[in-house]
Amino acid sequence: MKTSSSSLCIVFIFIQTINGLYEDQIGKFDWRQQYIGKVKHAIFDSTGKKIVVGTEENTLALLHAGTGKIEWRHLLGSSAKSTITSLFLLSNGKVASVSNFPTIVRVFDVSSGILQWETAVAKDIQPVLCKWSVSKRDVISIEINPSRSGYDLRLTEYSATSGTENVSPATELPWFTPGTNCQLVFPHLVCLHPQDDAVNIVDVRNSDTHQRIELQYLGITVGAGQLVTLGVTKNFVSLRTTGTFSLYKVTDEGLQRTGAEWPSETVLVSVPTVKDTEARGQYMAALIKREKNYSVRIYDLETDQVLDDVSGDMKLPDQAGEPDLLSTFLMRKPNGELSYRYAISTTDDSFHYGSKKEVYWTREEALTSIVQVEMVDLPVSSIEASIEEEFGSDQPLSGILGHTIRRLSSQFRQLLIVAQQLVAGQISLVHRDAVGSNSKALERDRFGLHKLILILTRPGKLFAMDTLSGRIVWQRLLKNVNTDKVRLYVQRTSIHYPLEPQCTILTKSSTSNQAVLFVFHPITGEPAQFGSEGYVNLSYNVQQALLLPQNEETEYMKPLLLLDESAAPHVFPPTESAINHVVKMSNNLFMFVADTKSCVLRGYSLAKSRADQLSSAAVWQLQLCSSSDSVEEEIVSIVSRHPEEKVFSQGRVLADRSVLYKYLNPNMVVVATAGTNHPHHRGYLNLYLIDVVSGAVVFSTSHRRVQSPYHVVYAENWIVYSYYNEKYRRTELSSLELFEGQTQSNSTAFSSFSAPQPLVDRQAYIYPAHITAMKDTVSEQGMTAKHILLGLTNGWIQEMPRAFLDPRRPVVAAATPEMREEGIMPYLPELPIPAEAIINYNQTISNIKSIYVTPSSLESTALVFVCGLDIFFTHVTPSRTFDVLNDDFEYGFIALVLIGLTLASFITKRLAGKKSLRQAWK
Amino acid sequence: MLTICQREPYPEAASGKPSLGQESGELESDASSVIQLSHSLGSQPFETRGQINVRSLKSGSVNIQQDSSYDWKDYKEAGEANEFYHLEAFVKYNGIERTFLTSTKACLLYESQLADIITIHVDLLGNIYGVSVATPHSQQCTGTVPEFEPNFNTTVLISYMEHGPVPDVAMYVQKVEQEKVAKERGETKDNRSFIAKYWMYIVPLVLVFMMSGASNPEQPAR
Repeated sequence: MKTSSSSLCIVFIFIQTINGLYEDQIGKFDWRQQYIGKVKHAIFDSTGKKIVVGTEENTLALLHAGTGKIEWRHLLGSSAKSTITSLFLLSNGKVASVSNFPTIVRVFDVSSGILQWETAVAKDIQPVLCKWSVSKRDVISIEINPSRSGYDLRLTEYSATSGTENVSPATELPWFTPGTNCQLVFPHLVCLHPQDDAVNIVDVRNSDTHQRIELQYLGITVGAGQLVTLGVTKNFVSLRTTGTFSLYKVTDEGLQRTGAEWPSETVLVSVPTVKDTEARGQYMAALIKREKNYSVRIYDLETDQVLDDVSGDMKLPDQAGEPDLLSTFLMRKPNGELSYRYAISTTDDSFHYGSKKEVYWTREEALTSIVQVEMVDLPVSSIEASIEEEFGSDQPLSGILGHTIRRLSSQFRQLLIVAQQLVAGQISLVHRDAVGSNSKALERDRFGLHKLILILTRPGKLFAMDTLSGRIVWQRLLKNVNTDKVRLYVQRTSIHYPLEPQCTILTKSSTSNQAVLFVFHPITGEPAQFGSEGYVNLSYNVQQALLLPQNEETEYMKPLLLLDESAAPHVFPPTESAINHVVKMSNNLFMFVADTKSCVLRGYSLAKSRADQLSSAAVWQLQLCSSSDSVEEEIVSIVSRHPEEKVFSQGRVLADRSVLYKYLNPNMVVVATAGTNHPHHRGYLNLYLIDVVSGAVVFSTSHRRVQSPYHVVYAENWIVYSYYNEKYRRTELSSLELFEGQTQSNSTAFSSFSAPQPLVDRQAYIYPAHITAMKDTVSEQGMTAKHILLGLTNGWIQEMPRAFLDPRRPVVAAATPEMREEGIMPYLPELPIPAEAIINYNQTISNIKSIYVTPSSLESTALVFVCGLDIFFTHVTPSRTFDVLNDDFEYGFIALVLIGLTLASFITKRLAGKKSLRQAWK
Repeated sequence: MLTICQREPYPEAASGKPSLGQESGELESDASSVIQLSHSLGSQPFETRGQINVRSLKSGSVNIQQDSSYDWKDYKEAGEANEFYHLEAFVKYNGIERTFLTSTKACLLYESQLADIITIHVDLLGNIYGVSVATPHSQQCTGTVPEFEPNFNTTVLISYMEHGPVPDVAMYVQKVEQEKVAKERGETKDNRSFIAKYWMYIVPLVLVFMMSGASNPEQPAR
């Protein structure tokens, strides 16, 4: 008994401490939001309470119509190209989805989301045309392939219940020409060639039924050069010319015109899902563009009339784009009236659901295609602002009296603010929450953990999110811009009170090739006082932009340097102080431009710039890739150090007390090129460390037989990169570290023109998972240890200490005292993935695309934002929270102990006094 | 003046670990090449400086024929005006033509008395991807140099790309095997301290003593 209890004691004593998250910390500073991607197909189920959606991210999901929440969600394959091309609701409560690249048909149960069957459609050659449809019992596919005598059509039927395949013999289509747009309205195929003036209709089960109907006969007159576009909704096809819109029902006899007059402003039509089955196919819904908003019209096809009492206007949220998908649901209210619900996808990637009265909910699916993220500081609180005002420089009153008045008035103001906050309940008297004070107000907290995440998305929509809750504070859709290339720059942070913070987006105009800037206030989202409503149209095309690292002196703005096509530099904002700042710095200003296709890198110096004319001169040029015909090579990534990164220690102290100095070249970038050697189809990766001021190649290395994905992280004096090894079929991480040696060549300033040649340590490791994103953690002063965040294909985010990837890990038997002193571990070829290093615990992040890290004001803590199909935010503390008390710190207990100790000391003092008195009397 | 030299591979890693192949023999194909050099000071037009004949990229045999078209004074002036010295290299090899540009501070070149280092960068497929000019890195722009003959003292280096590191599994397995063998032979000398070696026996003993002491409290002595 005794021994067992004692051994139990030992077990408890020697349990290792684990660096992970405690259960009660879940959701305390992290949050996750799940998305589905831009909706391409939306179908109401027969009750109208659920919406089945298929998206561009190849995701199939069931949304709850009342709340917009995801009931279930499936990611159908991970290939970046594949999307859901067709989606059908089958009669037996099942849903069929067709994805491309590779073509796979899947049937799911709608209510449970369980996969019933799936079939991969193997294709030797990509068909000229492939269309899908459903009949009562089957999922149907038709393919048009070139044949010996022209084109032939192949019909395949898949049984909806089991997926068994039934291929019909190929039939010839003598009238088919490439470029023809066809729509399958089973069993008919309706085809229209853009240059033709007739519609071809054929029954796919019997090619003898081919009919050719002149457009004229369909009541459409086409002017010269006008195009007719063909659309489809269920068993209807639509024909649209620039001024007209008409709808036809497809029958055996041909096309039958329905709905006498459709306004030419009709944007979209949809056959509504109707609750009672008899009325199916009786109604038609159309979205019609008005001057400012849209209206939904419901047509009764039997009587060919607009149901005016049912139809109504629709007002989408302010920052929504143009609708490009409409799905509707019609139901009969208890009092017999018809009422509709609609689901609309818009060009800003958002998805709206509403009724005649209002939009009930909107899903911001643009957040699945994030281009860039910046986390900006919030402005100071009103109390701190009043202190700032008191000590501000330009004050009218001076002297003792003036200062006294100012002090008194400012303290009175602060008192008022405190009183207001007390009344509003914003200040709690017992303040124990270390993470962010009040979550509602957008103001800075003590530790800089409360920030605003600015998110720039592919469709040109801009979001600001609160780091504490993940709430969207504001959103804005950029107008008339082409967002294929877009960058966001924070020109002035909110530190420079009372000057307002300012951000700038650089992109291209949608009409011309010229650059457009959009300037805005990051906290409110309002456009700044520049150009027209914040949009500044530049008269040139920008090939490179650089945000200068230092503020100019008068407005504390970081000038944005833009290099146009002819390599002439421009400054934004074009104020005198900004230009003077650039001219003052010009001797040390260099920019470089890289062409990823031709691999030409060119460096420019701005040394000859004058205030009246900025100019640049080329100083170096390299051409990296191979020009050989048998090799395809291009630049896959260019990585520079985090512009605000600080390096705390200049060197590493070795066991013999000497210092190995780090090679800290601030001008070095890592350029990775990847190619395929064609005779053997073998991939390779070349990595170049290039000093972009002098154009010197500091180091270069090559990996053979490797494949994408490639990820590169570069911080301080080390580089970590990952690639897939074709030969061993595994992901590998390589690590490089650069040192100057035992002496430092120039400790005060680094010059690229007289730089020393570094020593390069290197080592490679096996990583037992597939990496989709990689990023290093950043801290405010660079004192905290660096960790590397790895986003994995299985939705995990691993936090890996950089020490594991140290290239100096030696292959020796056991750790020697020297190694222990230096803090390096013996070499192990495979890196571990311990469960406690997964920072998103059980919150899987699907399809991780990138990771963004920003330091907080706490040295120990960095803020991490991960985006993919889902978005996730958390804090990481690579060296633990050494500068804050733990969440579970016992304030009450420590106070009790202190009081107890004080009391005890008083009592013992008294007792001792009594005793000594008694002894004195003896 | 003329100097021929082959670039040593990058200095070996500081850890003393054997670095991977850096032999020039790693090149997949060899080629000879002619590099035409032209140079300019500041924004002056380019003038011909000479040419580098690379007889073999693999063996690194090169020779250079050049003469400085500028005067000593030109370098001095450019150095004082903090101008750049630009060098343009027109490279022809295997029927491929490429133009590279490289620059350094004119004052550095002037103060090194035209002792420059031209590096030809070659990747593993035998492509020349860069030509760069530099001065010995201890140079500083101080401004005091006696008059000298404006003749280049050029060092031509060929810098080869290196093979990247590979996970060293074989070495690790070998190490583990060796350890196993050593353990079987009983060769491993345990040089841990007494407590570190036998804590698992000491701690229970101490605990047992403590527990037995607690369960049989001694009678208070009167």
